[in-house]
Amino acid sequence: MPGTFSLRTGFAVLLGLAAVWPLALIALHEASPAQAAGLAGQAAQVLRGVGWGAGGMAAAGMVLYPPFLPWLRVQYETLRRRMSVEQGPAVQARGRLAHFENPDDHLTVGRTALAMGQNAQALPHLVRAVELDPSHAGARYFLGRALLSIGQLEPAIEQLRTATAQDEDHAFGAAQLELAFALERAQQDEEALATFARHADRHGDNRRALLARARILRRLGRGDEAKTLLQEAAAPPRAGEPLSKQEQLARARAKVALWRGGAT
Amino acid sequence: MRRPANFMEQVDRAPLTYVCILAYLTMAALTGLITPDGEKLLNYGAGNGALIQGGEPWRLLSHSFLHGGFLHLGFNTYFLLLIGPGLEMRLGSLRFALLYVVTAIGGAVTALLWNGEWYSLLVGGSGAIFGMLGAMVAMNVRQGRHKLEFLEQAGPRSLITLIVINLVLGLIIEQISNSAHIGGLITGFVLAYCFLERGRYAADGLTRLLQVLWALLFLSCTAYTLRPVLRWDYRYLEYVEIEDGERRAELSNLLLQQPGYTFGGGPERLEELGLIR
Repeated sequence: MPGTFSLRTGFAVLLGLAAVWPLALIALHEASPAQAAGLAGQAAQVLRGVGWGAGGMAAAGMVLYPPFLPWLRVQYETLRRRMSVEQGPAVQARGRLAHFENPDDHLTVGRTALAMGQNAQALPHLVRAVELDPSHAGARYFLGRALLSIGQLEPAIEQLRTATAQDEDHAFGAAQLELAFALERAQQDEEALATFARHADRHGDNRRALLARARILRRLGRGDEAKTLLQEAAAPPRAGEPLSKQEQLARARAKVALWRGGAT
Repeated sequence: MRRPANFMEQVDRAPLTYVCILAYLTMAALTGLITPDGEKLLNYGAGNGALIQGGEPWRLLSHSFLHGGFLHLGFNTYFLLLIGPGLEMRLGSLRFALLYVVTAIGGAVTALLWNGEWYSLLVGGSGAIFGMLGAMVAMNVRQGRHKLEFLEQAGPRSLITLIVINLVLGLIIEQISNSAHIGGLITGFVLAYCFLERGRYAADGLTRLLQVLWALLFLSCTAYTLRPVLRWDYRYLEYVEIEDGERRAELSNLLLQQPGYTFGGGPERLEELGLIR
């Protein structure tokens, strides 16, 4: 299932390799000192290659590709948010769920897991929250996000569509915006454009939405309109308009797209 | 926790801290308070990579009770007095002792393996003291409502500042082994985070696996310090003692490719340390 190999699992693998490595060298040395030396030499070469490669790519990215630094800032922000999630309410909710099943506690557990990046753990709780209270727009919205995070595009669109129909302004239009992005990913272009337009009317535009709309317009062969939107997305922020990290990334991508003559 | 009413009560509640300080002062008196003698330091258990690998593993711990001069002793004793009693009262004497031992070893192993300071004299309790600082950071992280909550408070932020200042000092002053400090700091943090301090929430399967892997990493690095199979001196000592002709030839070929053996006046150095009989 996509997204289940988390950073923690990757770290555990690396830690395991580092922990076993000295013991492996000692054991191999008992059998053959030359083999142990050969293996250590090869490993050093591989690590040097990986290090130089990663360092070179990072340096090249920073110099040649403007969205690289904003992308790094977004990753840092995501990691910081995941580490700042308060788990207390979810622990209490789990305790209550052991005795009495209810949609709010399932939603609390699911939202907390989703916020921590534990998408697989979040899903069953969010599904159950929706089953117990089908009219809860918030539960459907978070379920839609969880489904998107594991690559289940069509089921996510269905949930987000229902959430938007139940409460169009839920979380200041977050469900509607998420639906628009999901429709764009699924290349359901007309509906996506209409949803973006409706969201912009009610809640104002943002750079990510402008970039996505430009992508759609380009696909539909409306290049000039796409270029106008890209210019708007790439414009410097107005006075008193702080851009979030995600919006900074969208702005950088819009700039690159304009350099490429509007190709996104 | 009620603050101790007087000094004797503090000694009563945090005995190991004061035992450590007494050990520092005693060893300083035996080796030389102002400018210790190098040979005396070695005799009383200073760290030395060649001796550790040559069958004296206790030096991984004993080095932490010796110091390289009055200033060195003064700073370490001061820091131990500053943070030791509170930490011992918090953890309990048994866990405090475990923390001291493990972080002293962790600091020594890091200094030997990272910087390759194999023949330098390694002395000082600062690996263990940095381990205590790391443990304090870990305890702050564990007790928060989320992992970064401790940064919102002035006390923990001051702790981080203190650690950073000391690490910077370690970079500036040549005689300070910053690798031992960093090794002690990380060992103390991991030990407290994974084993000594219970978090607010139950550990999942992956957390337990990480705990086992951290312990394995510590043990395997310590084992490698005792048997550094890639080092020329380890191979040379084996070459000198072994009788198996084929293995001797293999070791001889490897030694000839190692600068420490061919250019570093290697075997003579081992003779000076009494490792070649």
